[in-house]
Amino acid sequence: MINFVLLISRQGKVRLTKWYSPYSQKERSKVIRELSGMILSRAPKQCNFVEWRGHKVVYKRYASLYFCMCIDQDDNELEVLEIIHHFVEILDRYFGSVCELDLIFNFHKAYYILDEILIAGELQESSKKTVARLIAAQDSLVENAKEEVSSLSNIIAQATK
Amino acid sequence: MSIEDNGGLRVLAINILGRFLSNCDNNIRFISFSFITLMVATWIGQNQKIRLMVVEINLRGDGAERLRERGRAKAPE
Repeated sequence: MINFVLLISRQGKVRLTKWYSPYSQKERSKVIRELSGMILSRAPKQCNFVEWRGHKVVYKRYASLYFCMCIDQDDNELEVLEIIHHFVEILDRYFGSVCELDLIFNFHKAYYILDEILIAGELQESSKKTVARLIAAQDSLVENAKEEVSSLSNIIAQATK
Repeated sequence: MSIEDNGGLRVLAINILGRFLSNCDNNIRFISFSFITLMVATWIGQNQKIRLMVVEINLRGDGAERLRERGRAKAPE
């Protein structure tokens, strides 16, 4: 199973974190500090797997972002690389050529997408079309809620005049 | 690693994994390499001699140390 997912920028700043195993806040910051130091210092020619604390960390660099996933010792590393690529492809389709700024300003949407793909550290949805459809439905739900709120606020404003 | 086997099958297994070691992708090389070290550890535990013909391993400090630690194993003649 996947223990946690990290998105780290080239500068070592964390852009997204998702924890599927219990870690205290102190442990989390220590893990992020350790792993960002390890991964950012690795050469491009080295393989995408790091053995760390009895786990395996699978990472892949896309432009200025490192996508990292920590898995158990007996898990398949190549499968996790495919999951990372799958996640990136869905982000790319949703944002239309995704960049780091998209994830900074629309981080909540990145979390929504990740929650559609992974549940409890396991891959749940392998279809990109299905994920896109579900996220579009969620977006329309949010838009409807916003419209309802704005109409309610208009009614309240008129009533108080 | 609890599959019943004989010397010939072991040599065949090593040869198949050796093909993956000659792959240009370092990720595939790392996985095949870690699997070979697992096999070597199992067979050495059974007091059997294995020779690994590993050519041009250049994993840059990922799995190469582990093979050096285990030492050169010899295959059945």
